[in-house]
Amino acid sequence: MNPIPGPIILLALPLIAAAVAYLLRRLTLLAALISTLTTGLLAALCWRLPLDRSSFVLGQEVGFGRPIVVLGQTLMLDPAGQMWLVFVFGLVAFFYLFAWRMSQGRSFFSFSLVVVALYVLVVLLQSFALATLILAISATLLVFVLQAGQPSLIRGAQRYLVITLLAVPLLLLASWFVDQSAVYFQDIEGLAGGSSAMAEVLSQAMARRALLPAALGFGLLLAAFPFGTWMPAVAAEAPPMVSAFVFTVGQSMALYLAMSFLGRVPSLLQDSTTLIVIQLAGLVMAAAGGVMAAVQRDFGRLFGYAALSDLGILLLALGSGGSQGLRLALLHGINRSVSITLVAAALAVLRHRATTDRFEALRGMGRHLPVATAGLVLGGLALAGFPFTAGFGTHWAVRLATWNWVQPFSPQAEGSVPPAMGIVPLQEWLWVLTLVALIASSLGIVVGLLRGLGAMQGDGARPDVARQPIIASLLVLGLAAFSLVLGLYPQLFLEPVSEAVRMFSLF
Amino acid sequence: MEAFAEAFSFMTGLPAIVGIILTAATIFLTSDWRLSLTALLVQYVLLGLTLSRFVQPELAIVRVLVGILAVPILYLTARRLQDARNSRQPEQGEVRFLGLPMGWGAGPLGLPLRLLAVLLVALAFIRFFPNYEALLSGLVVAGPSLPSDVTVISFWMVSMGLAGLVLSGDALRVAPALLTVLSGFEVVYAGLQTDLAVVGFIGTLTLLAALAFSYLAAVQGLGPATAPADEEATEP
Repeated sequence: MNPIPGPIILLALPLIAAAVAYLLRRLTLLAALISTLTTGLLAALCWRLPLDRSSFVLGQEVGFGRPIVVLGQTLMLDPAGQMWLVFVFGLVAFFYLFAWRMSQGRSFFSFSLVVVALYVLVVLLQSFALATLILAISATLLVFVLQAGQPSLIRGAQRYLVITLLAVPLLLLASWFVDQSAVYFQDIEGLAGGSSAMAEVLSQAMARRALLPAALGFGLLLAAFPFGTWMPAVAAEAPPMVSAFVFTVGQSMALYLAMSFLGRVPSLLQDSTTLIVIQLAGLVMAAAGGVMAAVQRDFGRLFGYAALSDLGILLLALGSGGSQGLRLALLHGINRSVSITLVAAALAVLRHRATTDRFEALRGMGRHLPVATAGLVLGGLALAGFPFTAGFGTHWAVRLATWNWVQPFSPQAEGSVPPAMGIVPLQEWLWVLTLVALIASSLGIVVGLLRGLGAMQGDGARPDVARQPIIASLLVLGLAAFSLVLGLYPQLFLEPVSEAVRMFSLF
Repeated sequence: MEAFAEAFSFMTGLPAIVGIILTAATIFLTSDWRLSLTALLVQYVLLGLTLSRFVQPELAIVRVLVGILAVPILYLTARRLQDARNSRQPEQGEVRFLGLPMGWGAGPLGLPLRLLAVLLVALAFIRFFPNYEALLSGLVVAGPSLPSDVTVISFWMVSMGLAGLVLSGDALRVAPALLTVLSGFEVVYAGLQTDLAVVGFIGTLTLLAALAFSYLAAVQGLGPATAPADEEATEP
């Protein structure tokens, strides 16, 4: 008997679980249990099963790395995709576990499982154009989960949908340029007298045309400045765990797509213009998110802007270049996922009990819901890169890398700008602006948190608000402890991240 | 298929191009869902006719069918919301044209501003079209180049759609604007990419996008006080 191909398991299990979870959507315990077990099992399979040989699972022979062909498309799991899916399934399993106690909308389990199956398809597909279209299709389904049936509240979901769909034409165009560069190479090489070197140069020139549409397309998908306005809107309106789903798993899939694209044109990632654009976009996002977080009047938007600012830090890590930059970006991606999940879990408890997250209505909540308050503060501080929290290690490394990047532009180092860095706009002010932006990105979030915390103080008893939920609070405490462990041991995930970077083979 | 193509061949040239330009402008200008959805439907049909000049007729028909299916999805929702909208009577003395408040005092997003936006897009078209055409001609390394009238309509549709996205907050106005942008891209992309799987997934995406917008429009209409079109609440 032939071994069962891995792609079939990875696609079929979430879809079957989605159907069952939909039928059982009124029985939250069962729906959550099925969703958590399915994604947890898939995370374990992705973590344990080898791709190069068959193995036995519950007496069945499974060929996890065995490709299948569906409608002319080859679906195959590669090592980088396998690592990525461990992260996706593992994180989603926690979301489902938490949603058992704090409802995130009845459609959350079933629809998000379908979305996860589509993410698996993005990883399995060999065609970048099709992967882009599948990611956009998943965004149309996410709209239903983001909106969660709340009357009138559509702004966040609508903006997310519009931004994601606008990225599709740009990315398809970029993909087409890259495909054409290969055709171009063969055509020129095939010409009489056409040399390989000339074909290579002309083909790379063709591939460089993909840079602008790719930068705009991935900028839209990754909510880069100025396309990130949907993040605070989503955080303000959508159930917190759904927001966390989009900010962590959803954006990680956009990042995966970006890596796949760069894997096809590695020269783009070594291009100084690309790196400068990524660095500047990240810097503006980090600063703008931090400043906006400081002036919010509710925890939802504060969460959205803090996540946006932290995403800017991730882009700064990516833009610091080379395999070290990618390693730092992926490590930061894991740390920020923990921080975002912690804030979302605490926010879910707060909204569930207090029915609002507006500062003005939270008087006395700090004392009434201490675990949720502590989770909000700790998660927020982690997003700001505060010492002893999950975000500190990578924030510090990114800040050092960014500072080293702008050092040549400072007055002390006049005339020592390496030619490879080219001409940067406003370069005489760059080091000052960078310093201000890096400080603002953290300080803004801390100020926003202090304002929220101040509003939650007060001795007034709140008989209208139920006591804090036990299981949800324990989950928040567990996440908070994990965040502190990551703060003390930031290298905890360094080995799998280094392995993932090696598997992407971009450098 | 050939009989079908022949029957409509008189429409595939200038009439289709003029029609697409007019429908894109209508979608941008009007806030009346009947008019904008009808214009969207006509636009899909004309787009199919235009595409039939340089892609296989089967692909052009698929494109038309996707549009014909997407528009009713939005129509059914809009129709259900009509009663709720009817309850909001126009203010005394408010002058409307094509469903839009006419006066300058009607707010920043009334018809005058939209007409101004059309004028600006037309000026941008005159200024930037040569660059755009050069860019598109650079796309085609091998094979026939894109006809200039196709590049004209793609530029116009994308511009009008983007302007509509910037100025609209209502789901039933954002949806036709976004679908116009995607169609404007498709008219160029169809000449470059003929992979059936890609064409099929673009069609699926269009239908699901229509469904998602339809859902958002329905939920928006369920709210206690339906925000009128073009009057998106200011963000705190």
